[in-house]
Amino acid sequence: MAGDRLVVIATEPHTNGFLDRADPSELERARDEQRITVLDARATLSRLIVGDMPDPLRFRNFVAELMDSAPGDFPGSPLRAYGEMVDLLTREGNVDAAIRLEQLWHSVLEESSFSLLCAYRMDSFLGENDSDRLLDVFAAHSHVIPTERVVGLADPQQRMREIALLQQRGRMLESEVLRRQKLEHTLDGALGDLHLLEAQLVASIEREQQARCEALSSDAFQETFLGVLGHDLRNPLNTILVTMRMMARRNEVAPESQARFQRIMASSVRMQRMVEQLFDLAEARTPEGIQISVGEARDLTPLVTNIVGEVRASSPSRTIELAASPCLVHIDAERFEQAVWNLLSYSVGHSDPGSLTRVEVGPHDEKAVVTVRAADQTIDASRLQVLLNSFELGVEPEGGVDGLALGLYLAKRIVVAHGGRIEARSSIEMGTTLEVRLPLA
Amino acid sequence: MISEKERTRGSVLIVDDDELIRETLCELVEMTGCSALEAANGKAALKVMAEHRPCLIILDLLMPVMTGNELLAVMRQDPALADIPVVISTSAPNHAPPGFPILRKPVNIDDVVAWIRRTCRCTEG
Repeated sequence: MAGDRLVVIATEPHTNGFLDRADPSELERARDEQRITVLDARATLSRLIVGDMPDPLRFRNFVAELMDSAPGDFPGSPLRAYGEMVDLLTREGNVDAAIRLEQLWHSVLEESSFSLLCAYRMDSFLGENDSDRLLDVFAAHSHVIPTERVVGLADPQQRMREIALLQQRGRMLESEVLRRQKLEHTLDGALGDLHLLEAQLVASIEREQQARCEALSSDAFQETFLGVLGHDLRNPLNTILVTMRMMARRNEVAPESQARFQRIMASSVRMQRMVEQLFDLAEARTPEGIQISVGEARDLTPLVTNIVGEVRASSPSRTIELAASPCLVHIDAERFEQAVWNLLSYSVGHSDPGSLTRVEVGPHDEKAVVTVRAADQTIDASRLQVLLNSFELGVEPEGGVDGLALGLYLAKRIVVAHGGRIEARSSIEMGTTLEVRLPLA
Repeated sequence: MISEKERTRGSVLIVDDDELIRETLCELVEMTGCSALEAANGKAALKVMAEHRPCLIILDLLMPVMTGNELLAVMRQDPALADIPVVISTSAPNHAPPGFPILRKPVNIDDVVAWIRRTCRCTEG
C-alpha cells in the first residue's frame, strides 16, 4: 500500500479485520498522510440505492468524491478500494443490484487509475447452482484470492499438498452430495410407496367396516329371527304341555293310550328344551351375552347334588359318582344349574351304558371347581374345543344326544357370564373331563 | 256379562294374546273352583276390570294393542286397580318388570294352582 490511496467500504467487523492485518507501520504512515478513507458499507449503499437498484448518477458522483478527496500531496496517485457492498446486496438476496453495482465499478475502473478489491463471503455460494455464479464473479475480476490458508503457503510442495487435500475434500463433498441425492430419490420412492400403501390400507379398512356392518346386520337379523322363533314356538308348546298335564292329572287318558300319550309328552318336552336352547342361543349371541342375576353367596354342593340326582333318575343305566366339598359362590342358581346339567348330560349321553361318570365339586386353588369326568370316554380334544366354541368358530354343531347340541356352548356362555372359565380335556388314560372354575365368594 | 254367582266367587283374569293359552289357563283356573275371566290384551283387560275386580291377574307381557307392562303402568295410576295381585306369565323372564312373581312358560300347573289358592277365596278345590 506504499504510496497508494486506500478506501475501505466495509461493515465494521471486516473493516477491523482488514486494518488488523495491515502492516502497522504502513498503516500508521497512511493515516498520517491521510491516504486512507474508511466508509461504512451499509451507509454508503443507502446513498447509492434508489428503489432496489444502484443509481448510476449517484454512483458516479460518489466515485468523483472519492477521487477528489485525495490529499493535496497525492493527486492522481493510484486508488485502491476494498468494497463489501456487492456482498451485502448478495446476502440480502438482491443479486441483480449486486451485478449492477459490479458493472458500475467496472465502468469507472476503465476510466480511472483505480483498483478494486471485492470481498464475497463463501456462505453466499452454498447452493446447488452457485458454482456458475461464482464463475461469473471470477470472470468479472482480474484476480481471485481465495481465503483458504493455501494462499499463504510459501513452500510450493506444501502448497501442492494443500491443494490436493482441498481437491480430496471437494470430491468427497461431491460424492456426499450424490449419495444424498440418491438417498433423497430412494426416500421419495419409499414415500410414494408409503402413500400407496396408506391408500390401500384406507381402502382395506373401509371394505372391512362395510363387511362388518353387513355381518352385524346379518347377525342381528339371525338373532331377531331366533328370538321370535323361540317366542312363537313357546306358546303352542305351552298349550300342549299344560293341556297334557291337566289330562294326566284328571286321569283322562285311557290305559290303552298311555304309551302313546307318554310318547307325545316326551317329544313335547324335548321340543320345549330345543326351543329354550334357541332362545338362550339368541341371548348368548347378543353383545351383552347371557344375562344372569347373581344372588347371595351360596354353597354349590346342594345344587350339584340335585342335578346328579336328576340325571341318575333319567339315565339309570349309567353310574354317576359324586364327591362334594362345600364351596361358596355368587351365582344365578337357575342358570348355573342349567350349565352343570348340560355338562353332565353331555358326558352321560356320550358314554356307554354301564360306564362311570364322576362328578366332583369343591374349592381348589382359590376357585370353586366342578369337574365332570367320563372315565371310559375318549373324545378328540379338538372336537371338544369346537363343541365349546362352535358358534364363535362358525362350525356346525354335531347332532346332539338331545336338543340341538347347543348344551356345551350354552354352558360355556353361562360360565363366562359368571366370570368363570370352562375347559375340556380328554385322554385314553383319564377319559374325558369337563372342568368349570368359578371365583369363590 | 258376569253372573252374580261369579261375582261372589274369586275370579282370575287371564290376559294373553294366544287364544289357546287363555283357554287352557281358564280351564286350569276352573279346576281350582275359581271363575276365569279372559282378555286378549291390556286394553281388553281394563275393560273387563271396569266391570269386575279379579282376585288375581295372570298376565302375559308381549301382546298387541296394549302390552303387559303398559297395563301395569295404567293399573299403578288407578287406586281401584293398583292393589290387585299380578303374576307375570312369560317366556322371557329377563324382560319382566321387577317385583312381580313369574310363571315361566310353559307354566307349571302346580305353580298356577298354588298362586290361585294363595290369593283367591275359591269355593272349590
